[in-house]
Amino acid sequence: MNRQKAFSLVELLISLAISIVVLGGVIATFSRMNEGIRNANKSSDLTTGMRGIFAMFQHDIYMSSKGFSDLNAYQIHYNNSAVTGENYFYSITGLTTSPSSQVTLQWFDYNMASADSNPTYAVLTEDGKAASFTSSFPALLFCSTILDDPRLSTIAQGDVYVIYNGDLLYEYDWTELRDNMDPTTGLIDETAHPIGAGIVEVESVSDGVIPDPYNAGPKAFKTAKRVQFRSSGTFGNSFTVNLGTPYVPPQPLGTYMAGAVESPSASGNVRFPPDSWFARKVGTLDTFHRVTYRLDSDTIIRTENNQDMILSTEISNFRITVGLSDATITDAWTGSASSDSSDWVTDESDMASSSVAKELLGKHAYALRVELEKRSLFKDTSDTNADGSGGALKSRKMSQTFKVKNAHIPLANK
Amino acid sequence: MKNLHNLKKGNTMVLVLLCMLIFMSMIVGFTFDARSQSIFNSGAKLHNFYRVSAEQILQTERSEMSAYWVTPNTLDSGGGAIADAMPSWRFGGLLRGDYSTTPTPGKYGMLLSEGDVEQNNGLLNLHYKLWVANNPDDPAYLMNGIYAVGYDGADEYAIVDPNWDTDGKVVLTVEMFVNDTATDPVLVLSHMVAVSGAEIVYAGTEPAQEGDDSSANNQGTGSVGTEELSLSTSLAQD
Repeated sequence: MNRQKAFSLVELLISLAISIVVLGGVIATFSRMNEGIRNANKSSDLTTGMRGIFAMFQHDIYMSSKGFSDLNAYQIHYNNSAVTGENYFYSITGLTTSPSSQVTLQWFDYNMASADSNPTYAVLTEDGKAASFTSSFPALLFCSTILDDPRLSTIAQGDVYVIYNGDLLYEYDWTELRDNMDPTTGLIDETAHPIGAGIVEVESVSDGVIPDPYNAGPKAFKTAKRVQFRSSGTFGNSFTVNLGTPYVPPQPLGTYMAGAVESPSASGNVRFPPDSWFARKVGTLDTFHRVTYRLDSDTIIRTENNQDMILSTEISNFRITVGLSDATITDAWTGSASSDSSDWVTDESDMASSSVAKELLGKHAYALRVELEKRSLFKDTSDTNADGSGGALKSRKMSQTFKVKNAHIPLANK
Repeated sequence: MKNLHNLKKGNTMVLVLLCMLIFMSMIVGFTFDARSQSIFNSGAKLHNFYRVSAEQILQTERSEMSAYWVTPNTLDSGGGAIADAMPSWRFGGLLRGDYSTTPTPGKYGMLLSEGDVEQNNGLLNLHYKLWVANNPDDPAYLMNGIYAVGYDGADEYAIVDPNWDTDGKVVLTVEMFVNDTATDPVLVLSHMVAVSGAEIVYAGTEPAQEGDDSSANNQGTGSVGTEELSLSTSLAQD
């Protein structure tokens, strides 16, 4: 009978025991390494999530702080019926700590790339006479010196315009602006120096009739559209104050020099007379963005145009502070009316007048700092009990400071 | 075949292969557990590349715009002054394309410059076009087509042209393309540029010669030459 040699039972058992010991050690090591990698990944996820929040802030602050380019020199009256207490349109507003840290950023997708996308029109009243831009002011005429100007036909319902007194751009330079500013707040005193502007939304458009004497002669307007504006809504024109100076009928158009008859100045200025009004299209409701960051329980929510987006959960600390541009402005904030003691402000209600706080914030914000602390979903195993209970959830802190480009100096060249 | 100890050959090899199989499976497990993290998705990163490149191009070109500035002068009496002189004042010549051998108008104004942006990694080289246009609320733009009065009301007129620069402000627009044959830009960025200051600078013609600043420091106040215009410009939103 043939007997085949094979492993005996004893040999098998011994080899099995040795294999179990070796594999057990290998598996234990593998398991610990695996857990370490998972913890590292969770930690990395934690950091990445927070950096994503900062990336969102960076984008929104960059877009909002561009403002309206050279029109940033104005204090643009704003009457958003959905928001109380905002009398002027500022890119940064709504800074508060109640119930938690919160800030609002708003902007238009506005880049002045071409006259087709952001046209400007000269503005007349329908009767060519003086008027005041009070609440529900009458319709205005947007005018052009070109016959059947095709740009006028693009004016449509829903367009948003900034209507402004041209003095600040065409007549003033920075020294005059400085002289017209309150030395403490850096804001234009509109009572003493009415240089008004307001942001409005078009409700309806129709053909306009150009009043005398602007409809004849070599300096006449050739085409006009009658534009009616909404009195309520996001850009309602029910302003609480007059938009600066009453509109004064200009002299007939043409080259103009202050204090002289129609003749070019030594520098060849082509100018509109003082107190002429203009309308610049800054966008439409579709290109308007109003973004609010807030903390709700332990969740950071970004709300854009009333649509919520959850950025992150497990947030244990969220703090926004804004740095103001210089000591004078900060002193105005941190004076007797304010309880803030540093150069970084946290809440508009810290000032006795929240409207002045909004104006300081909107005009003089220089930087915005975001501080964030996020809890992870795993514990620090070094202080857990033997049975795995106890121990604190790991958390990560990050903060970043963003520059706010908040230029408000006119660059008019006389 | 049996060896000396009556054990079949190949049994050891089987065991060795079995061990290797176990270790290989663990290594593969490690590999699938590791993954890379990214701060932005690729779209956000690329947008950042484009935007930073565009901003740098704008800043570079803005700083060199003094070469295109024509200082307005007092109009002389006599004919032709307004029609000949005013259109070139400030950045008017630039807006008309006077500084280009082949003026190229486009959607965003007159082509000012064109070139490539090289990235260090060599894989994201970009092509750009820089355009210049008058700002839409320049008084000349708004008075387009009407008469400008001549000197002292004399019988001298010029038709206001939208490319007259009467306020020293222009709009620079950068289009970024992925290469020089692409027709659709990946980014369009505009800034208003305005003059923020102008100064006549006096300098000595020799390194050791006194300039006109009377400071007795044997240095001029500017670069080589006798008189230069030092023009500073700013982006209207910086």
